[in-house]
Amino acid sequence: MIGAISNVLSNSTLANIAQNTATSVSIETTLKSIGRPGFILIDNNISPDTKKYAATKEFLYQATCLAVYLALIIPVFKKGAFSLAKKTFFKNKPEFAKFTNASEYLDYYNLASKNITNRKATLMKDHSRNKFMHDGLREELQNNVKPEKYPLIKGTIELGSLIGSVFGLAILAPQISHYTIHPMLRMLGMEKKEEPKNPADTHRIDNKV
Amino acid sequence: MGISKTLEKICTSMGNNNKPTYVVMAIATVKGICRPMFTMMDKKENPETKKYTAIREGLTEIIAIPVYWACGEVAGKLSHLFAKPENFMDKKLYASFKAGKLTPEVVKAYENAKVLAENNLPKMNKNLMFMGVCGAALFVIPALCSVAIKPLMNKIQGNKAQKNKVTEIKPQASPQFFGYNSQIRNNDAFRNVRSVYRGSDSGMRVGGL
Repeated sequence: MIGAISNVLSNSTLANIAQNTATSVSIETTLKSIGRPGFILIDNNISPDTKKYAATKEFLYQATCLAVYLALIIPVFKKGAFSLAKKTFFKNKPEFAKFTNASEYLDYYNLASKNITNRKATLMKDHSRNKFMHDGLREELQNNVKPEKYPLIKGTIELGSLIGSVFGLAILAPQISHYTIHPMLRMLGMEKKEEPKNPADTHRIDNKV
Repeated sequence: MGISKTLEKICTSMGNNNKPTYVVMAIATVKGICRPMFTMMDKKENPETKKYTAIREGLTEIIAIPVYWACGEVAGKLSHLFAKPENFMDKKLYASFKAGKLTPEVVKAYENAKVLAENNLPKMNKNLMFMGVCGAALFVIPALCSVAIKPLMNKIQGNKAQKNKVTEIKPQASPQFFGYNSQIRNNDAFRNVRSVYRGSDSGMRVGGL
Protein backbone atom coordinates (compact mmCIF):
# COMPACT_ATOMS: atom_id res chain seq x y z
CA MET A 1 0.00 0.00 0.00
CA ILE A 2 2.69 2.49 1.05
CA GLY A 3 4.73 1.41 -1.95
CA ALA A 4 1.82 2.26 -4.26
CA ILE A 5 1.38 5.65 -2.58
CA SER A 6 5.13 6.27 -2.92
CA ASN A 7 4.89 5.53 -6.64
CA VAL A 8 2.09 8.04 -7.07
CA LEU A 9 3.91 10.65 -5.01
CA SER A 10 7.12 10.25 -6.97
CA ASN A 11 5.34 10.80 -10.26
CA SER A 12 7.15 13.47 -12.30
CA THR A 13 4.00 14.72 -14.00
CA LEU A 14 2.31 15.31 -10.66
CA ALA A 15 5.44 17.08 -9.38
CA ASN A 16 5.43 19.33 -12.45
CA ILE A 17 1.77 20.14 -11.82
CA ALA A 18 2.47 20.92 -8.16
CA GLN A 19 5.22 23.34 -9.16
CA ASN A 20 3.22 24.92 -11.95
CA THR A 21 1.23 27.83 -10.54
CA ALA A 22 -1.35 28.01 -13.33
CA THR A 23 -2.09 24.28 -13.39
CA SER A 24 -2.18 23.88 -9.63
CA VAL A 25 -4.55 26.83 -9.19
CA SER A 26 -6.80 25.48 -11.96
CA ILE A 27 -6.91 22.07 -10.29
CA GLU A 28 -7.64 23.57 -6.87
CA THR A 29 -10.43 25.71 -8.26
CA THR A 30 -11.91 22.71 -10.11
CA LEU A 31 -11.77 20.65 -6.92
CA LYS A 32 -13.49 23.43 -5.02
CA SER A 33 -16.18 23.83 -7.65
CA ILE A 34 -17.02 20.14 -7.31
CA GLY A 35 -16.14 19.52 -3.67
CA ARG A 36 -17.77 22.46 -1.93
CA PRO A 37 -21.21 22.18 -3.61
CA GLY A 38 -20.93 18.41 -3.14
CA PHE A 39 -20.44 18.80 0.60
CA ILE A 40 -23.42 21.11 0.82
CA LEU A 41 -25.60 18.66 -1.10
CA ILE A 42 -24.78 15.66 1.09
CA ASP A 43 -25.58 17.53 4.29
CA ASN A 44 -28.87 16.21 5.63
CA ASN A 45 -29.28 18.88 8.27
CA ILE A 46 -30.44 21.68 6.03
CA SER A 47 -33.56 22.04 3.93
CA PRO A 48 -33.37 20.79 0.31
CA ASP A 49 -34.14 24.22 -1.11
CA THR A 50 -31.42 25.93 0.89
CA LYS A 51 -28.97 23.19 -0.01
CA LYS A 52 -29.74 23.53 -3.67
CA TYR A 53 -29.44 27.31 -3.56
CA ALA A 54 -26.18 27.37 -1.61
CA ALA A 55 -24.61 24.59 -3.70
CA THR A 56 -25.57 26.27 -6.98
CA LYS A 57 -24.28 29.61 -5.79
CA GLU A 58 -20.99 28.14 -4.68
CA PHE A 59 -20.63 26.20 -7.92
CA LEU A 60 -21.34 29.29 -10.00
CA TYR A 61 -18.79 31.32 -8.05
CA GLN A 62 -16.04 28.74 -8.41
CA ALA A 63 -16.95 28.16 -12.07
CA THR A 64 -16.70 31.90 -12.72
CA CYS A 65 -13.29 31.95 -11.05
CA LEU A 66 -12.15 29.03 -13.19
CA ALA A 67 -13.51 30.55 -16.38
CA VAL A 68 -11.83 33.91 -15.71
CA TYR A 69 -8.63 32.13 -14.85
CA LEU A 70 -8.53 29.89 -17.90
CA ALA A 71 -9.74 32.47 -20.37
CA LEU A 72 -7.77 35.47 -19.27
CA ILE A 73 -5.09 34.83 -16.72
CA ILE A 74 -3.24 31.87 -18.22
CA PRO A 75 -2.92 33.25 -21.76
CA VAL A 76 -2.19 36.82 -20.75
CA PHE A 77 0.00 36.58 -17.68
CA LYS A 78 1.75 33.27 -18.20
CA LYS A 79 2.73 33.93 -21.79
CA GLY A 80 3.00 37.68 -21.35
CA ALA A 81 5.54 37.36 -18.54
CA PHE A 82 7.94 35.48 -20.81
CA SER A 83 7.60 37.98 -23.65
CA LEU A 84 7.91 40.98 -21.35
CA ALA A 85 10.99 39.58 -19.59
CA LYS A 86 12.60 38.67 -22.90
CA LYS A 87 12.09 42.15 -24.30
CA THR A 88 12.86 44.20 -21.20
CA PHE A 89 14.24 42.86 -17.92
CA PHE A 90 16.26 39.92 -19.24
CA LYS A 91 16.94 40.89 -22.85
CA ASN A 92 20.65 40.17 -22.44
CA LYS A 93 20.20 36.76 -20.89
CA PRO A 94 21.30 34.06 -23.35
CA GLU A 95 18.78 31.48 -22.08
CA PHE A 96 15.85 33.66 -23.16
CA ALA A 97 17.27 33.84 -26.69
CA LYS A 98 17.07 30.05 -26.96
CA PHE A 99 13.28 29.91 -26.77
CA THR A 100 10.79 31.72 -28.96
CA ASN A 101 7.88 31.63 -26.49
CA ALA A 102 6.71 30.32 -23.14
CA SER A 103 5.04 27.24 -24.64
CA GLU A 104 8.27 26.11 -26.27
CA TYR A 105 10.14 26.52 -22.99
CA LEU A 106 7.48 24.66 -21.02
CA ASP A 107 7.62 21.77 -23.51
CA TYR A 108 11.36 21.70 -23.02
CA TYR A 109 11.01 21.88 -19.22
CA ASN A 110 8.54 19.00 -19.13
CA LEU A 111 10.89 16.84 -21.15
CA ALA A 112 13.90 17.86 -19.04
CA SER A 113 12.01 16.76 -15.92
CA LYS A 114 11.59 13.22 -17.24
CA ASN A 115 14.21 10.54 -16.80
CA ILE A 116 16.54 10.11 -19.78
CA THR A 117 14.91 6.89 -21.06
CA ASN A 118 11.41 8.37 -21.17
CA ARG A 119 12.78 11.63 -22.55
CA LYS A 120 14.53 9.90 -25.45
CA ALA A 121 11.42 7.85 -26.18
CA THR A 122 9.28 11.01 -26.29
CA LEU A 123 11.76 12.79 -28.54
CA MET A 124 11.58 9.90 -31.00
CA LYS A 125 7.80 10.16 -31.33
CA ASP A 126 6.39 11.76 -34.48
CA HIS A 127 5.20 14.96 -32.82
CA SER A 128 8.61 15.63 -31.29
CA ARG A 129 10.90 14.58 -34.13
CA ASN A 130 11.53 18.12 -35.28
CA LYS A 131 11.38 19.86 -31.93
CA PHE A 132 14.27 21.73 -30.31
CA MET A 133 16.52 21.51 -33.36
CA HIS A 134 18.27 24.78 -32.49
CA ASP A 135 20.79 26.08 -29.95
CA GLY A 136 21.82 22.58 -28.91
CA LEU A 137 18.59 22.01 -26.98
CA ARG A 138 17.87 18.62 -28.49
CA GLU A 139 21.41 17.40 -27.79
CA GLU A 140 21.08 18.63 -24.23
CA LEU A 141 17.89 16.64 -23.78
CA GLN A 142 19.21 13.52 -25.49
CA ASN A 143 22.67 13.33 -23.97
CA ASN A 144 22.49 14.76 -20.47
CA VAL A 145 21.05 12.79 -17.59
CA LYS A 146 20.16 16.05 -15.87
CA PRO A 147 19.71 18.67 -18.60
CA GLU A 148 19.79 22.39 -17.86
CA LYS A 149 16.30 23.53 -16.83
CA TYR A 150 16.89 27.30 -16.99
CA PRO A 151 15.33 28.23 -13.64
CA LEU A 152 15.30 31.94 -14.51
CA ILE A 153 12.83 31.33 -17.36
CA LYS A 154 10.75 28.95 -15.28
CA GLY A 155 10.67 31.46 -12.41
CA THR A 156 9.68 34.29 -14.75
CA ILE A 157 6.72 32.29 -16.06
CA GLU A 158 5.73 31.27 -12.52
CA LEU A 159 5.97 34.83 -11.22
CA GLY A 160 3.77 35.99 -14.12
CA SER A 161 1.25 33.26 -13.31
CA LEU A 162 1.34 34.19 -9.62
CA ILE A 163 0.67 37.86 -10.33
CA GLY A 164 -2.08 36.86 -12.76
CA SER A 165 -3.62 34.44 -10.26
CA VAL A 166 -3.70 37.08 -7.57
CA PHE A 167 -5.21 39.67 -9.90
CA GLY A 168 -7.68 37.22 -11.42
CA LEU A 169 -8.88 35.40 -8.36
CA ALA A 170 -8.62 38.06 -5.68
CA ILE A 171 -9.76 41.10 -7.65
CA LEU A 172 -11.26 40.34 -11.05
CA ALA A 173 -13.29 37.15 -10.49
CA PRO A 174 -15.16 38.44 -7.40
CA GLN A 175 -16.11 41.60 -9.28
CA ILE A 176 -17.31 39.62 -12.30
CA SER A 177 -19.24 37.21 -10.08
CA HIS A 178 -20.84 40.16 -8.36
CA TYR A 179 -22.56 41.07 -11.60
CA THR A 180 -23.16 37.58 -13.01
CA ILE A 181 -24.14 35.22 -10.19
CA HIS A 182 -27.50 36.72 -9.25
CA PRO A 183 -28.74 37.00 -12.87
CA MET A 184 -27.65 33.40 -13.41
CA LEU A 185 -29.46 32.27 -10.26
CA ARG A 186 -32.57 34.11 -11.47
CA MET A 187 -32.25 32.40 -14.84
CA LEU A 188 -32.14 29.04 -13.08
CA GLY A 189 -35.27 30.02 -11.15
CA MET A 190 -33.54 30.02 -7.77
CA GLU A 191 -33.88 33.68 -7.01
CA LYS A 192 -36.68 36.15 -7.58
CA LYS A 193 -36.09 39.58 -8.94
CA GLU A 194 -35.86 42.06 -6.07
CA GLU A 195 -39.05 44.03 -5.58
CA PRO A 196 -38.75 47.70 -4.61
CA LYS A 197 -38.58 47.67 -0.82
CA ASN A 198 -40.52 50.84 -0.07
CA PRO A 199 -44.12 50.89 -1.41
CA ALA A 200 -44.00 54.68 -1.41
CA ASP A 201 -41.17 54.54 -3.93
CA THR A 202 -43.23 52.35 -6.22
CA HIS A 203 -46.13 54.74 -5.92
CA ARG A 204 -43.89 57.65 -6.82
CA ILE A 205 -42.63 55.82 -9.90
CA ASP A 206 -46.18 54.98 -10.93
CA ASN A 207 -47.21 58.59 -10.62
CA LYS A 208 -44.37 59.65 -12.81
CA VAL A 209 -45.39 57.11 -15.42
CA MET B 1 20.81 46.24 -6.36
CA GLY B 2 18.79 47.19 -9.41
CA ILE B 3 15.28 46.02 -10.19
CA SER B 4 16.56 43.56 -12.78
CA LYS B 5 18.95 41.95 -10.30
CA THR B 6 16.26 41.64 -7.63
CA LEU B 7 13.81 40.27 -10.15
CA GLU B 8 16.42 37.81 -11.41
CA LYS B 9 17.02 36.59 -7.88
CA ILE B 10 13.30 36.16 -7.19
CA CYS B 11 12.65 34.45 -10.53
CA THR B 12 15.62 32.08 -10.20
CA SER B 13 14.54 31.15 -6.71
CA MET B 14 10.97 30.53 -7.88
CA GLY B 15 12.22 28.56 -10.85
CA ASN B 16 14.27 26.29 -8.62
CA ASN B 17 11.71 25.88 -5.91
CA ASN B 18 8.15 26.99 -6.53
CA LYS B 19 6.12 25.83 -3.57
CA PRO B 20 2.37 25.33 -4.10
CA THR B 21 1.79 27.38 -0.95
CA TYR B 22 3.18 30.59 -2.45
CA VAL B 23 0.31 31.31 -4.81
CA VAL B 24 -2.51 30.48 -2.42
CA MET B 25 -0.94 32.57 0.33
CA ALA B 26 -0.46 35.46 -2.09
CA ILE B 27 -4.09 35.26 -3.21
CA ALA B 28 -5.33 35.09 0.37
CA THR B 29 -3.16 38.08 1.34
CA VAL B 30 -4.45 40.26 -1.49
CA LYS B 31 -8.01 39.14 -0.80
CA GLY B 32 -7.55 39.98 2.85
CA ILE B 33 -6.65 43.54 1.86
CA CYS B 34 -8.87 44.14 -1.18
CA ARG B 35 -12.14 42.59 -0.12
CA PRO B 36 -12.58 44.58 3.08
CA MET B 37 -11.50 47.63 1.10
CA PHE B 38 -14.12 47.06 -1.61
CA THR B 39 -16.72 46.44 1.06
CA MET B 40 -15.90 49.69 2.84
CA MET B 41 -16.07 51.56 -0.46
CA ASP B 42 -19.68 50.50 -1.04
CA LYS B 43 -21.68 53.69 -0.56
CA LYS B 44 -25.11 52.02 -0.57
CA GLU B 45 -24.58 50.08 2.63
CA ASN B 46 -25.10 50.91 6.25
CA PRO B 47 -21.72 51.80 7.87
CA GLU B 48 -22.18 49.24 10.67
CA THR B 49 -22.96 46.47 8.18
CA LYS B 50 -19.96 47.44 6.10
CA LYS B 51 -17.70 47.43 9.12
CA TYR B 52 -18.94 44.03 10.26
CA THR B 53 -18.59 42.48 6.81
CA ALA B 54 -15.15 43.97 6.22
CA ILE B 55 -13.81 42.70 9.55
CA ARG B 56 -15.25 39.26 8.90
CA GLU B 57 -13.72 39.12 5.44
CA GLY B 58 -10.36 40.23 6.78
CA LEU B 59 -10.49 37.66 9.58
CA THR B 60 -11.33 34.89 7.15
CA GLU B 61 -8.22 35.58 5.12
CA ILE B 62 -6.11 36.07 8.25
CA ILE B 63 -7.09 32.53 9.23
CA ALA B 64 -6.53 31.22 5.70
CA ILE B 65 -2.94 32.45 5.27
CA PRO B 66 -1.28 30.53 8.13
CA VAL B 67 -3.48 27.49 7.55
CA TYR B 68 -2.38 27.24 3.93
CA TRP B 69 1.23 27.55 5.00
CA ALA B 70 0.90 25.04 7.86
CA CYS B 71 -1.03 22.45 5.85
CA GLY B 72 1.45 22.68 2.98
CA GLU B 73 4.49 22.42 5.21
CA VAL B 74 3.10 19.64 7.41
CA ALA B 75 2.02 17.60 4.38
CA GLY B 76 5.42 18.21 2.78
CA LYS B 77 7.19 16.89 5.88
CA LEU B 78 5.34 13.60 5.45
CA SER B 79 7.46 12.94 2.35
CA HIS B 80 10.15 11.49 4.65
CA LEU B 81 7.72 8.72 5.57
CA PHE B 82 7.34 7.67 1.94
CA ALA B 83 10.81 8.35 0.57
CA LYS B 84 12.33 5.22 2.10
CA PRO B 85 14.35 2.56 0.24
CA GLU B 86 11.86 -0.20 1.13
CA ASN B 87 9.18 1.57 -0.90
CA PHE B 88 11.36 1.48 -4.01
CA MET B 89 12.52 -2.14 -3.97
CA ASP B 90 11.08 -5.58 -4.39
CA LYS B 91 9.37 -6.84 -1.22
CA LYS B 92 11.17 -10.16 -1.23
CA LEU B 93 14.56 -8.50 -1.66
CA TYR B 94 13.78 -6.08 1.14
CA ALA B 95 12.72 -8.97 3.40
CA SER B 96 16.07 -10.63 2.65
CA PHE B 97 17.86 -7.38 3.40
CA LYS B 98 16.01 -7.01 6.67
CA ALA B 99 16.77 -10.62 7.60
CA GLY B 100 20.45 -9.89 7.08
CA LYS B 101 20.89 -12.00 3.92
CA LEU B 102 23.21 -9.54 2.26
CA THR B 103 23.83 -11.21 -1.10
CA PRO B 104 25.29 -8.95 -3.86
CA GLU B 105 21.86 -8.84 -5.52
CA VAL B 106 20.13 -7.69 -2.34
CA VAL B 107 22.79 -5.09 -1.56
CA LYS B 108 22.66 -3.73 -5.12
CA ALA B 109 18.86 -3.52 -5.03
CA TYR B 110 19.00 -1.72 -1.69
CA GLU B 111 21.59 0.77 -2.89
CA ASN B 112 19.53 1.50 -6.01
CA ALA B 113 16.39 1.93 -3.93
CA LYS B 114 18.24 4.30 -1.60
CA VAL B 115 19.32 6.48 -4.54
CA LEU B 116 15.78 6.41 -5.95
CA ALA B 117 14.32 7.42 -2.60
CA GLU B 118 16.75 10.33 -2.31
CA ASN B 119 16.06 11.48 -5.87
CA ASN B 120 12.32 11.27 -5.39
CA LEU B 121 12.21 13.08 -2.06
CA PRO B 122 11.86 16.62 -3.54
CA LYS B 123 9.11 15.46 -5.91
CA MET B 124 7.23 13.77 -3.09
CA ASN B 125 7.63 16.87 -0.96
CA LYS B 126 6.07 19.10 -3.63
CA ASN B 127 3.29 16.64 -4.40
CA LEU B 128 2.35 16.29 -0.75
CA MET B 129 2.49 20.05 -0.29
CA PHE B 130 0.08 20.46 -3.17
CA MET B 131 -2.25 17.89 -1.61
CA GLY B 132 -1.97 19.69 1.72
CA VAL B 133 -2.96 22.98 0.11
CA CYS B 134 -5.94 21.33 -1.62
CA GLY B 135 -6.97 19.78 1.71
CA ALA B 136 -6.68 23.14 3.42
CA ALA B 137 -8.85 24.83 0.78
CA LEU B 138 -11.48 22.09 0.80
CA PHE B 139 -11.70 21.11 4.47
CA VAL B 140 -9.47 22.80 7.02
CA ILE B 141 -10.14 26.48 6.31
CA PRO B 142 -13.94 26.20 6.03
CA ALA B 143 -13.95 24.16 9.24
CA LEU B 144 -11.76 26.58 11.15
CA CYS B 145 -13.69 29.59 9.91
CA SER B 146 -17.03 28.18 10.96
CA VAL B 147 -15.67 27.53 14.43
CA ALA B 148 -13.53 30.61 14.96
CA ILE B 149 -15.13 33.51 13.09
CA LYS B 150 -18.22 33.97 15.21
CA PRO B 151 -16.48 34.05 18.62
CA LEU B 152 -13.78 36.30 17.20
CA MET B 153 -16.37 38.65 15.76
CA ASN B 154 -18.19 38.73 19.07
CA LYS B 155 -14.95 39.61 20.84
CA ILE B 156 -14.17 42.34 18.36
CA GLN B 157 -17.67 43.71 18.44
CA GLY B 158 -17.43 43.95 22.21
CA ASN B 159 -20.72 44.83 23.89
CA LYS B 160 -23.89 42.81 23.67
CA ALA B 161 -25.98 45.50 22.10
CA GLN B 162 -23.66 45.70 19.16
CA LYS B 163 -23.65 41.92 18.97
CA ASN B 164 -27.43 41.79 18.74
CA LYS B 165 -27.39 44.39 16.06
CA VAL B 166 -24.92 42.34 14.08
CA THR B 167 -26.92 39.14 14.20
CA GLU B 168 -29.80 40.97 12.65
CA ILE B 169 -27.84 41.71 9.52
CA LYS B 170 -29.28 39.87 6.59
CA PRO B 171 -26.75 38.41 4.17
CA GLN B 172 -28.84 39.80 1.34
CA ALA B 173 -28.06 43.26 2.58
CA SER B 174 -24.38 42.49 2.66
CA PRO B 175 -22.32 44.07 -0.07
CA GLN B 176 -20.64 40.77 -0.80
CA PHE B 177 -22.38 38.72 -3.39
CA PHE B 178 -21.50 35.26 -2.23
CA GLY B 179 -22.83 35.35 1.30
CA TYR B 180 -25.42 32.80 2.23
CA ASN B 181 -28.74 33.47 3.81
CA SER B 182 -29.25 32.94 7.51
CA GLN B 183 -31.01 29.63 6.99
CA ILE B 184 -27.75 27.85 6.40
CA ARG B 185 -25.93 29.28 9.37
CA ASN B 186 -24.66 26.68 11.74
CA ASN B 187 -23.52 26.94 15.29
CA ASP B 188 -22.49 23.33 15.63
CA ALA B 189 -20.07 23.09 12.79
CA PHE B 190 -17.97 20.22 14.01
CA ARG B 191 -20.87 17.83 14.48
CA ASN B 192 -19.72 16.02 11.38
CA VAL B 193 -17.32 16.64 8.54
CA ARG B 194 -20.09 17.55 6.12
CA SER B 195 -21.46 20.20 8.42
CA VAL B 196 -18.26 22.16 7.93
CA TYR B 197 -19.83 23.47 4.78
CA ARG B 198 -23.29 23.87 6.14
CA GLY B 199 -22.68 26.35 8.84
CA SER B 200 -20.02 28.50 7.49
CA ASP B 201 -21.40 31.70 6.19
CA SER B 202 -17.80 32.64 5.72
CA GLY B 203 -16.11 29.34 5.08
CA MET B 204 -17.46 28.72 1.64
CA ARG B 205 -15.65 31.56 0.11
CA VAL B 206 -12.48 31.51 2.12
CA GLY B 207 -8.96 30.91 1.13
CA GLY B 208 -8.63 33.23 -1.71
CA LEU B 209 -9.43 30.86 -4.52
